[in-house]
Amino acid sequence: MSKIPITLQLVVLTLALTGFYTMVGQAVPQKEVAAPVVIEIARDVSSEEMAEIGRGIYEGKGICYTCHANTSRYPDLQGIATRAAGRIPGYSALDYMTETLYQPDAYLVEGFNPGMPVVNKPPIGLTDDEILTVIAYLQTLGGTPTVTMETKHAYNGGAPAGAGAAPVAVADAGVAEGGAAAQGPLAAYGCLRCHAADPETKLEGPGLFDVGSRLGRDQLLAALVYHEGDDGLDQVTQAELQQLVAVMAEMKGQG
Amino acid sequence: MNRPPVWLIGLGVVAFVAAVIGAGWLAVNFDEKLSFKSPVRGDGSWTPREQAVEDQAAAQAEADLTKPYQEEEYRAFPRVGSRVAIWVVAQLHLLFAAFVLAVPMFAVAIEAIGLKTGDPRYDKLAYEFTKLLSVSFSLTATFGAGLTFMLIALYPKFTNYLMHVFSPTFLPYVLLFFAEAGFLYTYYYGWGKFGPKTHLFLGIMLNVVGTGIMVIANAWLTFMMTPSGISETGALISTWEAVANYTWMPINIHRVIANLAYGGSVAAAYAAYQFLKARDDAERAHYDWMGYIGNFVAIVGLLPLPFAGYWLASEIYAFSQTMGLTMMGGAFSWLFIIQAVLIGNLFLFANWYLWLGMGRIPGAERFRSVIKYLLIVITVCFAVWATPRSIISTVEEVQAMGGSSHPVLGYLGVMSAKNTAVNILILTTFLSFLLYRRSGQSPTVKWAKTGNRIQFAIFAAATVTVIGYGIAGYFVDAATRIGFSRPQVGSVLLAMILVTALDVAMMRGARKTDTQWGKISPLSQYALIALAVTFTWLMGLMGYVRSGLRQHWHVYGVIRDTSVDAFTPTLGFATKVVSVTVLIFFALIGFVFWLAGLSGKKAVVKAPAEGHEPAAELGAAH
Repeated sequence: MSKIPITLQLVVLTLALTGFYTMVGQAVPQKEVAAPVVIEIARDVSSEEMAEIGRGIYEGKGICYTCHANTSRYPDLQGIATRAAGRIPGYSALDYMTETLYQPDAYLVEGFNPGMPVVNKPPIGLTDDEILTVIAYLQTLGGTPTVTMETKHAYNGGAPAGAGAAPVAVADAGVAEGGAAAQGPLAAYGCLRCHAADPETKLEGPGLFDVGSRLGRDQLLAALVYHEGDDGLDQVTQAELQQLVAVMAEMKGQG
Repeated sequence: MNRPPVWLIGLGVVAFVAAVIGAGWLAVNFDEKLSFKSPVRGDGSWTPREQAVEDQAAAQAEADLTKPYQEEEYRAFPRVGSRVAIWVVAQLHLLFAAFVLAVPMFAVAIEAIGLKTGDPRYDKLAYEFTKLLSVSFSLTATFGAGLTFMLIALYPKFTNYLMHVFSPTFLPYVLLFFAEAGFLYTYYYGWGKFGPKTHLFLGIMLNVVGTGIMVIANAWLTFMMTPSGISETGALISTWEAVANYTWMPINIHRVIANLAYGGSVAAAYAAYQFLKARDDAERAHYDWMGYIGNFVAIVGLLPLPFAGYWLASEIYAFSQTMGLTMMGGAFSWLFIIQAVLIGNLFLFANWYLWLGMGRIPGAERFRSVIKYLLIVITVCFAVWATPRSIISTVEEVQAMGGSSHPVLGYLGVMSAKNTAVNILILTTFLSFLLYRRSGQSPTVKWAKTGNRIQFAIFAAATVTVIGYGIAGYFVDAATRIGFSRPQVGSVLLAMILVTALDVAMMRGARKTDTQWGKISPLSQYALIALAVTFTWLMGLMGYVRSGLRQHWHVYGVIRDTSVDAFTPTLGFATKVVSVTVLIFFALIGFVFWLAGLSGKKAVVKAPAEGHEPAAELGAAH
């Protein structure tokens, strides 16, 4: 039997266990999170500078990165600049981006649940100017930033979504000059690498210029589903397939 | 030794008093005696400085009269700051409150068993548990009052807002508190003085009003997390909706279960302390049994606790994905690795205690060979649960791994693996408990073999279901994967219910061997103490995350924290505060244990031996 008094033994045991758990607490990454502050943005900053500010907000007070960090649970935003245009028929990339930020549950990409917070309301509570910078940053994910601090959209006094309020920033050489914004998905999925969207260009695959007049929607869907080649189409969701079909169905060879 | 004469002592006292009076008189008349140094001129006129001081005082007095009233938003607590001060006091209040709410639950249950079986040992055990309540109740109230005053003093504006929303709930709270005091003291002091059923009724009422108090207080704190019943700017729309917010009921359920587990573990720690100090076999047997019951209660609470926690977490996600992500993927994600270490330890200590406990049951040897396998399973599950998704690494290590996650171990850091691990951990602990229960019993029913096979099949089916869904989770989208946790949890719960029901039926009329209470390794008692410390630390940690999730909000998304403490501290800092709180709690609960040990003992006056003064000796009354 130990000669150390029981009470002392128990005190030592309690201190040792508490000390061990405290050590575990010191062993994990240590990060202090400051309360966010409103960022004052000059009106004359360039789009590139806006994108840089937006990146800070995206990774900081906007806490966008917490979810959109290449996890399968939430949409990965890499390439969003090219996907955004035409994601919703008739919407420009800016229309789509602003709607997903101000009214995130208005349109859901298939396979994902609703619940993204409205970013201009608490607890995130970004200002309209801060949101513009975030959009500038999103435009760098697969494209070039085009918005300025003067850009108007449906949520800051501009025209309603779908009214062609802003130019689309799609950085894919496969899109024909002056190509419709709705062809964005074709670029996003690399279709335009093999299929031309204009009658003059001849590529390896059949042209898509008038595909909407040659094939019905079901045939278009079947063509995509049974499409052969290293196209990445096996990665797309049902909604994205339907979106591609919708875009191609409108391509009836009328310029 | 010669004593000084009385007259000399008297003279000394008179001289001392005279010196004190003289010093006082001198102090009062100091100015007069030293008038040549006074700033007041001999002719009664003022010096310029004196005049300036007087004018300044008059101006200040005038300004004070017209000073506008301004409500203080915050006041600072010295040295540690307001947040840490409130944090520690609130946590101490909660720890004692949890204990005070838990003990009556199982004390009444044990008393009821005693009443039904007619075995007086149960009554004695229930009384022994209840002895811990009285002082703990006072400490709960003291810390509660301290918390209230500190909130009013340090966070006056925010406290005022809470009063604006919840004032209708205050009077019921106070009335219930009075009722709880009444029932508690009547229950404790009325032991053996009322009819058994009347006394039992008092105990049941103590539980009812205690739970009532808890659910009211839960409404206040859950409202801060997941507010409802108010406008966007915080104006009250409906008090009831503010009460019945998203996390109110999950917290109510979670706290009842957690209190039970925690209270059982602290009561078992008391029994362990008494066991280790016991002077004879009878005392050891009694406190061994008491520790066993306390631990049994703790395990009964521990097993469903992860499920209640899961419900709470899903409600947090339902209220705000931002808050949910902050919890599981943001600032607090690493906290759950610490939690995994704690819960893993809880399971290890609880199982270890059960295995050591088999030593006091003749016939338990047949299960001894199984224990090593159980230990392996528990250790593996523990390791999986504590595996982080991403690890801290150097750039070279990241390049070598091809990412921030380890190419192999990274797969264990995801939800599918962790859910599987925790469910298997629960199943294994349940199996440990079942083996312990079986140790002293042999079924006599004819269908015993078939029953055993069915039980085995149920365990196997639950295991396959849990592991199957765990593996499938790697191949489906996120929404589907989240949904998989339901069949996993459901199969484990169903297995536990079915196996228990079957076991109860099988053990009717079973051959039993007597448990040799007290014949257990003293190491087991240290396991009980370790369980209590770990439970308390876990309560502190989870209390922090629940409150810390609000980050820079007093009321999430509505009332912003603009104080100097409106930042989320590091986990290292938080764990230090938790540890300090835990140590204060154990210092105080040690005092409670000591007092409870004194209770029931009485001073025995020995007959004076020749040439000795009479001496009092403390002796056990029982």
